[in-house]
Parts: sequence; C-alpha cells; structure tokens
Amino acid sequence: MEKVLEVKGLTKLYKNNRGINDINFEIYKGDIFGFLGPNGAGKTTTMKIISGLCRADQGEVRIFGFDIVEQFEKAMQNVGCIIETVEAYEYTSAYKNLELVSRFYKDIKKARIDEVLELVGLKDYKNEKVANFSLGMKQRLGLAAAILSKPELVILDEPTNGLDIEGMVDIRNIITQLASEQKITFFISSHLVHEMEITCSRVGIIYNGKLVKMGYVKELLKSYDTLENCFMDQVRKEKSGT
Amino acid sequence: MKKKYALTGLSIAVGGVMLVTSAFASATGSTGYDTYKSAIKSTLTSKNFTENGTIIVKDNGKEFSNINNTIKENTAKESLSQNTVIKIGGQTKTLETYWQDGKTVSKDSTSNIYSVRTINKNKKFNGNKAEIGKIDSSKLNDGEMLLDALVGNLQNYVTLDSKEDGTKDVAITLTDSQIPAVANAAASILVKNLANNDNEMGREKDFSSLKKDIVGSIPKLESDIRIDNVSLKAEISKDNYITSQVADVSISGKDAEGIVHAITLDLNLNLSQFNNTTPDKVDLTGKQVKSITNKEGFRHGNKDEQDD
Amino acid sequence: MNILYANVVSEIQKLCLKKRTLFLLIISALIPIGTALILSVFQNNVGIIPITKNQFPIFVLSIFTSYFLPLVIAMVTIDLFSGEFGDRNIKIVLLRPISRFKIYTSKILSIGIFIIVNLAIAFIFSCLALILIKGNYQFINGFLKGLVAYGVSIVPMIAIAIAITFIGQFFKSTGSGLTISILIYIAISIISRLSPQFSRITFTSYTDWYQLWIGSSILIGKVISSFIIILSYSMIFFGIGFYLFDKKEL
Repeated sequence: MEKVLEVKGLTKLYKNNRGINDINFEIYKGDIFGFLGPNGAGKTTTMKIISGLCRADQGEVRIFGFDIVEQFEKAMQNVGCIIETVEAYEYTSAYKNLELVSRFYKDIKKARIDEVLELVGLKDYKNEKVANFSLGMKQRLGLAAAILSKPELVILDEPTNGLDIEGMVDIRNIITQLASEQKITFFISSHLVHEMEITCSRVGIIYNGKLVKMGYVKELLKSYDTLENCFMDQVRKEKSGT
Repeated sequence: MKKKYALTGLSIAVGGVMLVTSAFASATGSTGYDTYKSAIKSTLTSKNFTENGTIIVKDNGKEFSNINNTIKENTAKESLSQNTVIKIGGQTKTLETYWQDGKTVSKDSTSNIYSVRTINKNKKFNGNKAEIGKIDSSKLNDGEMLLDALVGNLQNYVTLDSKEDGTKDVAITLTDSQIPAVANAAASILVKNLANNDNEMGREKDFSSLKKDIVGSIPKLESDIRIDNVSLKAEISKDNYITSQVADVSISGKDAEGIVHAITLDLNLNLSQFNNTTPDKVDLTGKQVKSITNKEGFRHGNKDEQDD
Repeated sequence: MNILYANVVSEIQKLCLKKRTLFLLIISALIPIGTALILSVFQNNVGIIPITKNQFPIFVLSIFTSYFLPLVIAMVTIDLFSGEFGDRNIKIVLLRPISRFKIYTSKILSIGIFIIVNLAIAFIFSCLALILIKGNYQFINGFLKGLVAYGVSIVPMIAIAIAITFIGQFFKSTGSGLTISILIYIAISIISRLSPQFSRITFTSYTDWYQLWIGSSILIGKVISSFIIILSYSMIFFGIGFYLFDKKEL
C-alpha cells in the first residue's frame, strides 16, 4: 500500500511538561485515519508538527515521501488542512478568502471556488464578510479551503468543532463522499468517539502524549462492542501502567 | 535547511562587516563636516593671524559693492591693524583702524584726522577683545551644538578632500531644493526687512554709515525671494587653520516694479601668518589727532562722532 | 505561476481589501494638496515663498520620508506580521506549499510595492498641486529632479520596512508592535540629532538621501557610502528577522 504520511519517533516537550512522546504511525492511500484522544492528549501538537507549524524536538515526518522540514513545499503540495482552528481573513468575503488560497496552487479555476462553496453549503453566503460568520460557517469555510486544491491528503483537526448536529452530519457526509469518490486520504482528529467510529476506517488512540493503540475500526470492533469501550479500556490500561 | 540558514547567516555576516567597516571609517576618519568645524574652532580661537577678505555683491551680474578688508591681529599683545577698502557704485572709501598701546585709532579717507580713543579695560568691549580665547570656548560649544542641530543631515553633504601634503579641502554646495525651507523662509524675511528698514543695521564700530550705504544700494526685493545657491569651500592647513574660505550665496527675488534681481554675494577670505603676525602701527606724531572720551561706552561715542 | 510571485499578489490583494490601506493612500494624495494650499495662502498674504515651485515636490517628499511614510510603513508592516500572528490568520499562508523564506520575502516585496505606489501618488499629486503655487516650474530643475528624488527614496523606505519587519517578530499584536516601532524611531531620531557620530551610522539618518542626488552634481562617494550603510542594515535585519520568523511556532 502506498504510504501517504509517515511519522517516526515524533517527540516534543513543552515547558509545562506536556507534549508528545515517540509517536509513530503511517497513513495509507484511501484511509480515513482517525486520531482519537481526550483534549490535551497531543492531537493538535502532532498535527502542527506534521503540517510544519511547529518543530519536533526529535523524529521526522514525511508526506508523500517528502520531509516536512527539508522539503516543505513539495510535502505540502497535495495537502489541505485545518489545524486547531479555522482561520480566515475576516475583513473580506468567503469567496475572496478562497480566491486568496487558490493562488498557491496551479490552475484553480473560478468555477472550482463556486463548486467547493456549494459542496460545504456556503454558496448563498459567498459574498458575505467572514466577520459576520457563525462558528459553524467558519468551520465549513475552513473545510472548503482545505479541499479547494483537490489535495490527496486532507488533515482535519476537530473538524466538527462548534457545529450543530446537522452540521456534523453534513461534514461527515462530505468526508465520506470525497473519500469514496475522489479517493482522498483523510487524517482526522477528534475527541468524539462515536463520530470517529462512524467516519473512520482506521484509528489511533492517543493518550497523555503517547499513541497507545492503533488499528482498523472493523478489526477493533471484533474485540470490543464499541470504539468507546476500546478507548476506555486503553485509558484504564494506561492509568494502571503509570 | 542548512543551506537556508547558511544564506541567512551570510547575509547577517556580510551586512555586519559592511556596517562595522563604515562605522569604523566614520569614527576614525572624521568627516568633512567635523574637519570643517574643528578648523573653524581653532581658527577662531587663534590669537595671531593676518586676514584678507573680499566681499563682492553683484546684482544681475553687475558689481555694486566690493569690500576688501585686511586685518592683522595679535590678541595676546593687544594689537590689531585693519585696513578696509569699500567700493559702492563709483565711490571708494578707505578705513584704517589700529589698536595699539591701549588705544584705538581710526581714520577714514574722507578726512585727515585720526580719532583716538583710550580703551577702558572695564568696559565690555575691551573685555571681549582681551579675553577672547576664554569666552569663546564656551560660546563656541554652544554655537557648535546649535550648528549641529541646524545643519542636521546636511552635514552628510560636506565633502572632504585630504591632500598628500596634509592640507584638506572641504566643500558643500546646496542648490535650490537642497536648501531647507526654514533657511529659505528666514532668508526671505531677512531680505524683506533689510529692504524695508535700512536704519539700525550697523552695530559694529565704524561701519554703521557704510552699512547704511551698502544696504541702501541693494535692490529692495519685495516678493518671490529665495536662496538659489549656497556654496562653501575652505582650505585647511596642516595646523588645522582655515587658510582660505570661499562662500557664494545667490538670492533672487522681484522688486516692487516686478523686475527680477539675482543677487550674488561672493566672500573670499584668506588667512595667513598664523602666530607670526605683527600688526601695523601708526605713528601719530605730526598728525591731526582728535581724542574721544567715551564714558558711556563705545557705541555711544561712535554716534557722537558721526554727529559732529 | 511562481509561488513567490503568487504570494506577492496575494499579500497586495490583502492590503487592497483593507479599508485602511485606501484611507492611507487618500491621505498620501491629500498631503501635497494641503501643503500647496497652505503655501499659496502664505504666498498671497505674506509675499514670501519659503518653497519655490521647483522645490515643492521635494519639500512634500521630505514630509513623506521623514514622518508620514515611516509611520505608514510601520502600520502596514506590523499588520502583515504581528497582526497576522495575533489574528492567527498567518496560518492560512503557513499551511500552503510555500516556504517561510518565500512568505517572508514576498511580504517585504509587497510592502515595497506599496511604498512605490505611495511615493508615486505623492509625486503625482504634488505635481498636480503645483497649479496652486505661483512661479516657474522647470523641466530639469523641477520635474526631473523631483522624479529622481522620489525614485531614489524607495531605497531607504524599504530599509525602514525591513527594520520594522524585524521589530514585528517580537510582537503578537498590531498595537504594541506599532507603538514600539514608533517609539524606537523617535528615540533614534532624537539621538541622531544630538550625536552626529551616531547619526552617521544610523540608516534612518539617510531617509533624505535623495538630497545627494539632486544637487548641482551627484556626490558619488557619499551616495555609495550612504547606500552601503542602508544596505548593511537591511541585510542584518532581513537575516535576523527571517531567522526569528522561521523559528516561530503556532
């Protein structure tokens, strides 16, 4: 199987002693890989290092075989992300925001911007200033920006944050649709275990900065009733272990 | 990665070397402005020298006043001789002044009478002259600070040419838009005032009437007054004295009838015989002498003289 | 399309999308007109012209290079760095396939273009404002010298932008970054006034280096030594500024 993302021995310790410790995993083409863990487990830190926002103390990240530090431009060429929070230029419209993003890629036509706006359900608000957007609308805009360039890997940190039930379902449907139709690989983090169970094909459970369990959702569900039970079991093991 | 930081480091290093080099160059090799200032200071505090200066004022290229002044000064020995030739229009006037044996002696070419005045050491005038070095050093410092502030960045435009024989040339030329607006405004106001009231201009000894003549002959500029050009050039000797000072100032403007005048002022000053000057003396025996007593100071006495 | 060029376009578009940019450019156009109005009142009522028609565009330039443009440059530069880090929308660009070196460079280039536009507006409007002033306007002494002066002023202004870029790396809000930049600029200006030695090695003393270009002859030696000082500061600030920018973590 083709490796899309390769994470080796990733370690980063913050001054408050929190951080991540020796994270190793790989994501293959076609995966919807879920990064499951409580708040503060190190999901965002890992994703920030993977996307080049932060530097690791140790370890390396390769995206499509390119090192994220040494060959940043090549590594990020086919990646779209939302990390931590969705950011947008609030002083201008949704459409202009996407137009600004489109400059960084080859051949993104104006029609493509309209296309993604329709896909995330923001078509009617495309000329509205982002400053007036609700959190859910911003989240949709972030997703639109992440998939605009038709990337092969999409990294989404808590993509359903701040969304209502309808919004969560919408986002989930978009993810599964893109994965099945356009063979886009997803790397999603969340603390919502049910959401992960429905959306993802593979999961990694991260706890206290360590990757404690990894596997295909189907396989894991053979040993546990639900992903939640699997998760709680891992947490219990970790707690007794330390 | 390494290449990126190597380039960054190189940029910082090259920039740093360039900066340190130019900072070092400006700290050790003094600039034209500093050289000029220091030479002016040592020349002003010099107590013994011979100065020959010419000031020519032209209006639209026509010379209308020409002043030639020779001073031999030895402050330490309290002696001085001065010879001034003034040409205004067709008229020529000569003025001689001496400071000898505790007296000042003056005579102009219109009469044969020598005016002799005994110098009272307690009076301000005498004090000024006698203690020139002392007073000037603090005055010079104040003046220097004021000059620095006024000159501002213009000091960067003073060029310095150090010659092999140890002498130096400094020069600055400011034309048109390089002249600060403040200086231009000040000059305009000054020239206008000069045209409007030509009394009360003379403060210096023996010059008040002459100044009146000069000022009176300058075309009265009313509007569009501005400085076109200022250029200064000085030669500095090995001993840090100014040996030659040339200054040209061009001012233009319109008079009341709307005629454009370009007034140029050329100053040419030569200084020589530093520490080696013996002022001339005048032998008053057999000459017509008029003693002047000036209880109330020099200026008043001067006016009395004119009233005669 | 070259990614560096793409981000220069992007950064300029972002500047244009902000109302403040337009506002600043309008002020740039109003300064020459306002100055000309004051002068013409002065000319008509007092009868003296501290500034002739030939000098006027260069007088306007002196206002721009010593006060107005450094302030405007600080506002725009701090906004593009501290401001975007503060709003965290710097992330939008950081997550794109463009290296941080190119981001940093393209931001400075776009500020450079903003400076050029600003100077162009100032020059055009000071030429237009000449209608208000009496006197002669000559082609060489007026227009050509003015054009040269405005043109060469780009250099020290970009150097100021680079220096402010460096300062901007230490702040995460537009307000504090701008305040500190202004205070530093004022402090340097005061010290330069008081100490000629300091002034000579400070590049902010060369904001009016256009004076060297418009005299009766161009002082080549002075031009080169001034340029070296401006350049060396720019290289140092660019290097350290980029290093800090590259090390930033979000």
